[in-house]
Amino acid sequence: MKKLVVFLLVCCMTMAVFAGCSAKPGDQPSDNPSETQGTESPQGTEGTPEAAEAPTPTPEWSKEPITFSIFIDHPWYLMDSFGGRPVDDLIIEKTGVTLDVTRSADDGQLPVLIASGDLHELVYTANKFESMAHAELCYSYDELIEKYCPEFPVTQLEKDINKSPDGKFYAIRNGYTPPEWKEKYSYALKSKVRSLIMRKDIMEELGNPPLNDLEDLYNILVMVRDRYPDMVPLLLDRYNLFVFFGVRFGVNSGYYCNAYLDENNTLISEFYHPGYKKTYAYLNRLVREKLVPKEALITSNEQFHQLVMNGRAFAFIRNTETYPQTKLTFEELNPGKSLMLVTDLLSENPVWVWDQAGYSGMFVTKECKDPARAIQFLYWFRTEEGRIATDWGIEGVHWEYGEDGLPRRTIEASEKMQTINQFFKETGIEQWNFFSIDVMRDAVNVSRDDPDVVEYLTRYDRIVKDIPTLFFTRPDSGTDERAVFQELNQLAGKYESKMINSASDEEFEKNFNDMLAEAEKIGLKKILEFQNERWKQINGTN
Amino acid sequence: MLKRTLEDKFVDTFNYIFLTLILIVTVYPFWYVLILSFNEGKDAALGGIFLIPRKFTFENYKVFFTEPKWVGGLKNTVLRTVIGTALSTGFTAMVAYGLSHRYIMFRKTYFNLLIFSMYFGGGLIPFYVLLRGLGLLNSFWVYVIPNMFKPFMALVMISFIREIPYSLEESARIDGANDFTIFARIIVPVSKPILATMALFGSVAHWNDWYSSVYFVTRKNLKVLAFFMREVINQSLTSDPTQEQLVATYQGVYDNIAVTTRSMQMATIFIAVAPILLVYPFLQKYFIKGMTLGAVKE
Repeated sequence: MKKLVVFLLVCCMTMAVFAGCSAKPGDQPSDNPSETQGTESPQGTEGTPEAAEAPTPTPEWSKEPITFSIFIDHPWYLMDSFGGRPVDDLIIEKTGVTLDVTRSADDGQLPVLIASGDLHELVYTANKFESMAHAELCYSYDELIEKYCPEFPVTQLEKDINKSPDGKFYAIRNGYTPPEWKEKYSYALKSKVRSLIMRKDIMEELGNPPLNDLEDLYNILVMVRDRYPDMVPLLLDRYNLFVFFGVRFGVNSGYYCNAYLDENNTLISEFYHPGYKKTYAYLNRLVREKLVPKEALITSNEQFHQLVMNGRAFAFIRNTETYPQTKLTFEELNPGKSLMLVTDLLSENPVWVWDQAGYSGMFVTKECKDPARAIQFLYWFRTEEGRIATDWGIEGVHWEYGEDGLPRRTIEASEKMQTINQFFKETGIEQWNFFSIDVMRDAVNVSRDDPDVVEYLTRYDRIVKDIPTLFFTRPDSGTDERAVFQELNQLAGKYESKMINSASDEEFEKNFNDMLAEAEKIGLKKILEFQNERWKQINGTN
Repeated sequence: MLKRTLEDKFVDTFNYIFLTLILIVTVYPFWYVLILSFNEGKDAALGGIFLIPRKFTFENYKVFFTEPKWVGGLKNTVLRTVIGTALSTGFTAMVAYGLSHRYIMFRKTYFNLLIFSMYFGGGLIPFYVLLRGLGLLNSFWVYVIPNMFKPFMALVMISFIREIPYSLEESARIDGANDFTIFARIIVPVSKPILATMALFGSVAHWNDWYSSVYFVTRKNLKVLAFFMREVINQSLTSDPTQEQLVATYQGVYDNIAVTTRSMQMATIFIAVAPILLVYPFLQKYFIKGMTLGAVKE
C-alpha cells in the first residue's frame, strides 16, 4: 500500500512539474528571415509622405458604435481608460470605436494571457513584439489590408522593418521616422537626446571659462571641485553616462545592435571601437579625480532629482526635452540661481547612430470580433488627420500655426505642458498615437522659444546617422544566439562599474582586457558572424 | 533580593543601548514615510528632511481621499480583508478539526495531499486557467475563495486541537452534541490563540496582496489598494532602459504642483500600513502564544 502511495505521489509530482508547460505549435521563429514579399502601396509614390497619408475613411465604412478591448503592455503608460478627453472623443467621433483599456501592471501579465489564450482584441506591446507576431495569435496586416482595407497606407520599408520570419507583418512599430518624413518635417528637432546642463550662476562666478571640448569640461569640473567642496561637480546616472560620452568619442555603434560598421560595411563589436575604451577611460578619470560620484551607477532617480533641485549638483546630464521644465522648477525653488544648457557638442567628431526601428506595435488578435472594423479603425491613425489629432491635439486649442508657418503649441497648451503628465492625461495627446512618427511629434513639442535648445538640437541633428535596419541584426528572441547576445550586454554592464571605478590606469587596462577576454569566451566572435550574416541578408533591402 | 553586580549593570546597559539602536533602525523608516507624507511634495524633492516636516500639509492625504480610485481600492481592500480573513479562518479551522480525528477514513491520504500541495503547485498559467473555468476571473470572490484554505495553518491547528483533552469532546457527545456543535461550542472557544494567529496572518496577506489584482482582475472598480500602490511605483520604473526617457517625462517629479508622485506614494504607504500597525499590538500575545502552542508536545 505504502509503495502504491509513493508511486502515485511520484507520478503526481512529475505531472505537476510539467503542468505549466504548454508550447503552442510554431512558437519558435526561424532563424532565417524570409525574402521580402510585400504588396505595393496603392496610392502615391512608394515611400513618400503622400503615400502614407490617405484621405479620411470613406462613408461606406461603418461608424456604428463598437467597443474593442485593448491591452497596453506598458506598466508606465499614463492611460488606463478611454473617453472623456478631447482627443479620445475625437477618435470616437471619427471612427465610432471606443476602447476598453486594460493597462498591464506587470511585465509577466501578457505572457499569461498569451499562454492561457485569453488575449484582448487589440494588444499594444514593445517587449513582446516578437512573441505576438504569430499567425496563431494575430491577424497579419497583409491579410487584413487585402481583405478589408486596401487603402491602408504602408510603405515597403515599413513592411520590411516589421516582417516576421514567416514573411508577413503583424504590426507596425511606433516611433520610427522614415527618411521621407524627416524631410517633410525637417524643422523638427529630435528631442530625446542627452544634453549637459550646468549652473549658469556658478559658471559666471568662475569667470565663464572656455568650454569647447571634453578637456575644457574636465578643467571646469576641477575648478568647481576645488572652490565648492560641498557640490557634486558632475552628476551622472547609469542610463546617461555612456550614451552621452560615447557620442563625443565617436563610438558609432547602434544602441540596439552594439556593433558599428567599418569602411568595408562589416559589423564590428563596439568593444573594439577605440572610442569605447576612451569613453570609459575618461569616465574613470572623472571618478578618480572625484569629479563624478563613485555611486554614479547606483544613483536613483529620486536622489538625482534631489541633488539637482537643492542646488548641490553643478552639472548633470539629462534628456533635452526635460530641460525647460527642469529649469523652470529649479529657478522657482532656488531664487537667484539658474541653469544653462551647453550647446557645444564638445567634440570634433561626434556621431550618433540611431538604429531604432520603432518600439511598440498594435496587434489585432484572433479574439477580435470584427477584424474588418479593427483595421479600418487603425487606418484612421495613419491618415494626416489621425496623426495630427493623436500627436498634436486639436487645432486652435492645443496647437496652431505660428508666424513662421510652422506648427507650434498654443500659449495655453505650453503653459499646461509645465505639468506635462497632467496635460497628457487631460487631453489624451500622445496617448493613442499607435503609429506615431517621432519627428512629427517633435515638430510641436520641442519649443523653438529657447534658442539654446534649438541650437543644440540642430547641431545634434547633423551628427545623427539613421540606420534602422541595424536593429534587425540582433538575434531573434528565444534563440541561443539571443541568449549569448544578452549575456554580452550583461557583461558590459558588469565591467562598466569595474572600469569606471578602477583605482589606477593599470587597473583600468586590466579590467578592460578582462572584459574583452570574457566576451570572446562567451562567444563574441560567433555573434558578430551571425550579425554580419544577417546584415548581408537585409542589406539589399536597405 | 539579589544584589546586582557590576556585570549585571554592564550587560543591562549594553542591552538597552543595543535595543535602542534596533528600535531606531526599525522605527525610523516608518517615521520617515510619515513625515514625508505630511510634507509638501515639491519641497520634499529637495531632500534634507529627516525629523519633522519642513512644509507641513494635508494635501497628499486630501488628494488620496478625493481620488476615486484610492478610495475604491481602500474599500475593496477592507472588504476582502474582513470577508477573506473570516472565511479562511473558519474554513481552515473546520478542516483542521475534521482532520484532527484519528479514526477518520483515508486520513493519511488527506495529510499527504495537504503536504504535497504545500510544496508543489501547477504554476501561474494553470491556476489562471482553473480560475477562468470556475468563473472567478474579474470577480470579487477571486480574492476570497482561492485563499480559503491554508495548509500550513491547518497543520498547526491540527496539532493544537490534539492537545485539547478528548474528555471534553467525549462528554459533549454523551450529552448529544454533534460534530458541528462540538466544533462551535468547545473547539473554537478553546482555540482562540491559534484562531487569532490565523486571522492575523490571513489579514496581513489579504491587505498586502496585489498579485491577484494584477493577474486575475481587469475591472478597475475591483482593484485593491496594494495594486494602485504598485502602479505608482510602475509609473516610475521600466524594464527597458530605452523607455527610461519616456518615463522621465511622465514621472511627475518636475511637475510644478505641490503634490508629486513620490509624496502621494508616501501617503498611500502610510494609509496601507497604519491599520496593521494599529491592530497588531492587540493580537501580539495571541500570535506569540499561537505559534508555539501547536508545536510543543508533551
